[in-house]
Amino acid sequence: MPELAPQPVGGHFEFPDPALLEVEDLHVSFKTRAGVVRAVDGLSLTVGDREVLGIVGESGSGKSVAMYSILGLVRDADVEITGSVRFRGHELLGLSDKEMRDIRGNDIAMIFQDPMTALTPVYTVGWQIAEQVRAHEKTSRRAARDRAISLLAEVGIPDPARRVDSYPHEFSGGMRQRAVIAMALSCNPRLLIADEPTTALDVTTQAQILALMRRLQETHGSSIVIITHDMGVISELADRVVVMYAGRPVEVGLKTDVIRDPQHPYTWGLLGAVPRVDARRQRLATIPGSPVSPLDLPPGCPFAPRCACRFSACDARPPLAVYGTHRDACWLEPGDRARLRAEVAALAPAASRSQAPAPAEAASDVVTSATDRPGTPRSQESGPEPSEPESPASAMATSEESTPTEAASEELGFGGAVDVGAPGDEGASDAAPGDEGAAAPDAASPGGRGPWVPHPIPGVPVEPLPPYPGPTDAWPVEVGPAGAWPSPAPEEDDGEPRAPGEAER
Amino acid sequence: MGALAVLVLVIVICLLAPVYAGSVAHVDPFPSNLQGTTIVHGKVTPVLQSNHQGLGLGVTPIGPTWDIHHYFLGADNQGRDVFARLLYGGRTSLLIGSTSALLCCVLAALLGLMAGYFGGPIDWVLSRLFDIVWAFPIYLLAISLSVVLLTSGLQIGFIHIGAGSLLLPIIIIAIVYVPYVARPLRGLVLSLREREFIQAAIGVGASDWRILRREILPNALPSVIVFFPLMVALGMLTESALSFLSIGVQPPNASWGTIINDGLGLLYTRPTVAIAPGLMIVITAVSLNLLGDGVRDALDPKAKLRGSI
Amino acid sequence: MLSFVARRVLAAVLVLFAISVLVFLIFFATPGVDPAARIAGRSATPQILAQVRHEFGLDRPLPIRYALLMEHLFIKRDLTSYVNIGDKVVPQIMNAAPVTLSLVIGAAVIWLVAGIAGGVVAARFRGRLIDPIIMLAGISAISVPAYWLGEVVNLITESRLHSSVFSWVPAAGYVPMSQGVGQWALHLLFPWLTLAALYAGIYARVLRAELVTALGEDYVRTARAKGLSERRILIRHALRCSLISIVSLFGLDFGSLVGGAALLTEVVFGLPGVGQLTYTSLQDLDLPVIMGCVMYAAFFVVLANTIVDVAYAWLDPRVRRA
Repeated sequence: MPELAPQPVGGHFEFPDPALLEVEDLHVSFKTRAGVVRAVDGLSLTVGDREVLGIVGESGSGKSVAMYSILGLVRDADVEITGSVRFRGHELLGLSDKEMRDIRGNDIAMIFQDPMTALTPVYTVGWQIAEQVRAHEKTSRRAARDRAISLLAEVGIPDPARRVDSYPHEFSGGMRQRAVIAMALSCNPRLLIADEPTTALDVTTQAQILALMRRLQETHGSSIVIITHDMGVISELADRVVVMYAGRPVEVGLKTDVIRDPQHPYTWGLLGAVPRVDARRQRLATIPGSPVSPLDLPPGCPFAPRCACRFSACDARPPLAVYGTHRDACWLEPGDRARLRAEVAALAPAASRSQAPAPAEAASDVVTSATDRPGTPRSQESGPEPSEPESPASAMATSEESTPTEAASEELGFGGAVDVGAPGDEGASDAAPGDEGAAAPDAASPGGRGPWVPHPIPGVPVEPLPPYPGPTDAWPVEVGPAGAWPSPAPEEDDGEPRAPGEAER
Repeated sequence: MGALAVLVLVIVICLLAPVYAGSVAHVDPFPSNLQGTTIVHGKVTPVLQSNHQGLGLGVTPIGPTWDIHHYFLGADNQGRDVFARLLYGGRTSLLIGSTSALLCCVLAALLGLMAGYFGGPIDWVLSRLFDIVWAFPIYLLAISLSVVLLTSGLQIGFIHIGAGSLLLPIIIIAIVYVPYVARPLRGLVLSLREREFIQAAIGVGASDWRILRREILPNALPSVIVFFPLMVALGMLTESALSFLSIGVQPPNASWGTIINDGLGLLYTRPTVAIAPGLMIVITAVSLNLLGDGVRDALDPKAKLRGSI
Repeated sequence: MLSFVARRVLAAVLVLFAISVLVFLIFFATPGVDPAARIAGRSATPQILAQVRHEFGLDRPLPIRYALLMEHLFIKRDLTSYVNIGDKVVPQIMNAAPVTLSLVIGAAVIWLVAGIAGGVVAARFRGRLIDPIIMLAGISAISVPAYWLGEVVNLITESRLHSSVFSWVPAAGYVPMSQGVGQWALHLLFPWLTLAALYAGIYARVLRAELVTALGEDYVRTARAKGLSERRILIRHALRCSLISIVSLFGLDFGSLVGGAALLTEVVFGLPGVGQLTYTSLQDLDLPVIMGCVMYAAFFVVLANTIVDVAYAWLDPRVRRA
């Protein structure tokens, strides 16, 4: 039996001192006609001084909404936010608009996902940076403009004295994100919240932006909360990680601990340890209501309906407690987890033979940065997926977009086949290209319409595996470089910089 | 919903015009009725009364009797029952509004789809054509066409449309508003054309006709449907303006615009003649516009957020 | 920017040419109609018909006819009416233009202020009571026939309430500004309001929709994250971006109104503007005047369009390089 009572939490990494931001039992719910949507359902976290906290989870896990509520950026009239958010000891929830405005952009700045639309198109970049400066400081236009120029120089915009008068449309995506970062840093915020800052960028630019953020974090001494679905970004930037699922944290710990020794089955999925299995399971994947609807959260563990390891205890909500090196919310016996994970992972070869090649070279070469490596084909997106009119897009995206899983999972709610790169699985990799070719046209079928019919994979014995009824297609793989963390225990040094979207190119 | 109910009510009442004229009021609203009489408060009263004040020139028609059987809204200066004419005029106005809107939407859909889908020279020519018609003040274009066509009718080959035909205002109104609908449609098709499902259909070798019919049209149709009620309202307003200038509906036909025109001379003595049809136009146009908003919200739930009411 | 302006001007000239051809075709090449009989008027003698045929080269090929017409209109400026014999067309239009300009400019100020204020207020308080009220008022204003509204206004101010509330309203008509700005404005007040009602309704609705869309854009979220005030976000960011479409709408409307689309208001209020001139020439079937008016209208519409395009580029930096 697992220990029901959470153990006391210890270690400097759990409650960094002094805490810059403390979020306690944050609940965010929206009243809609369909019912109450509980987007954030009891989130607690702390961000220490000069710390980089990564929040990882799929779309709809509530990670962005949580951060928006902290800043008072959720403007829905039917929203209810409860809990406590303390920034440097001051409660933020319940502040007046005016008081909140003084904090936003000044003490806490935010960077958003899509730099293409984040800037007002009709003003020059410099004007927009100066506007933020002048909103918080009594400065002359001249001085604000000079600040803008030096900030642009700092984020690596060439010829900043001239580019300060450029309009956003005259910048490339990466440059715009740099400008947005410059703007966010313009008032020297203590905390920077970055909402998927690299998702909309191409791989090379992603690496550059992450390096820039790392450098600026060191020089400015700000704390950073980085929201992402991409374990690559976490590994690149974060000191600690919060894994969120269905509005709740399911695993919290130091990055190295979480990545080396993931405890929650959901995190296993995120890290790519969970295989794609047979067709029967894929049909299960299309059961409506999977992933859990925030309208109708189960009383127990929200991940249970999709969990391969679920058992009777999962009907009750698991607390976030320390079972190993860090905290997680799962009823599984800690001692059993390594075995269970290995069991799950043991299914990997079959899956990769059939669908996911995850070439061994990519898997074993994870340490090299993405920019150094030419593309290695990945069949993750070209494998069969529930077809929608857009599905050709996701199929095409394989070669064009940096993190196509993102696109796919955005559309499918919880799509994206799991890609397993088990080290040493060379035979599987060799078989891959042919299979990929066979699978791709199916996704890009004419018109992209009609229900997707799961097809049996030739040459792969269909084994019913009753203990693991987890729907494969529903596995939460938004993680770009799934193959970058071969399970169960990656050998490489996690501190090594690694770009997201590793295996894509 | 309220808007739809009002609209249906207006349509039904107008469609019942012959029933009203024949069975309730027992009047013929078209020929002039200078010597006619009616019954007010049980007394036989002439429909047109001589002016007793001043020089005694001219006549004043009776005002509203508020008696549904006898000149409910009074008479015009020809002695005709204004209420009966109002109903008949409504038939004409609604007919012109809806048919011109239909014609306009069909033409616009055809041209807009062609321009957006085929692109190239076809698009260039059609777009310039839209630009030119668009650049023209709509009323002036309609007026120019009306003046030319109403004097002699239209003769193209075997087709002859008489000068008094209702088809003329319908065609004129439909044509002048084509760019109004076709330009946004063209833009929509241009963006649809880049979408993956169209590309996929092109990729598997579907014919242009098939793609237009099976892929583009179903996606463009909601926009056309959203436009339709607005175009009916616009068509009706334009018709009334043209008729008001005596270049729309020609006598003996009546429309709300022509009745307003008839009522101008009586504005200070018998204002009901001009005000009643105007009110009908306002009521109908408001409900059509509200209906258009409702249709838009229903077809595009995202627009509901930014929709008005 | 300069080359952009040059290109727009060139395009405008081309459109003007196209419109003149269109006008020419409507009046001179409609199937089954004798243009000479139409130009000469209803009671034309054979001599006059012959004179018209000669003057407009009706026995010659179409391109020459077109050239002759343009010569009469623009170079000799001696296009004469055959209905009111001897009336030159061009000076008539030149006399009418200031009336129309006075009417349209005044109305434009009113409808821009009312429309923008209505749109901004409705968008700012969307979902509250004031929002549907403004929008319903907008729909009503759009649905009222302008000429009928003018008649009702006349009825109230000149007749029904003239002896009490509206005793200060002068009789309908136009007083030029040279006789005093006060009288000029007083005579034009109700025409302005009547004309402005429709456009204020349209602009309020369009602007509200644009603003609500803009307020959902990412850049507004960025602006909020920057700590800007809600008012500054609404005015400096959302409204500034929404103005782009309002400006293009305004250009079209202003151009066509100056060009004569205000004729219904002019007719109803007895203002001798271009619209009125068009209207009387229509009733007399005085084709030379009609042609002149239509060409004048087209000129203003195209001019306004060109100005709009340039203003557009000024407002929206993305357009400039196009």
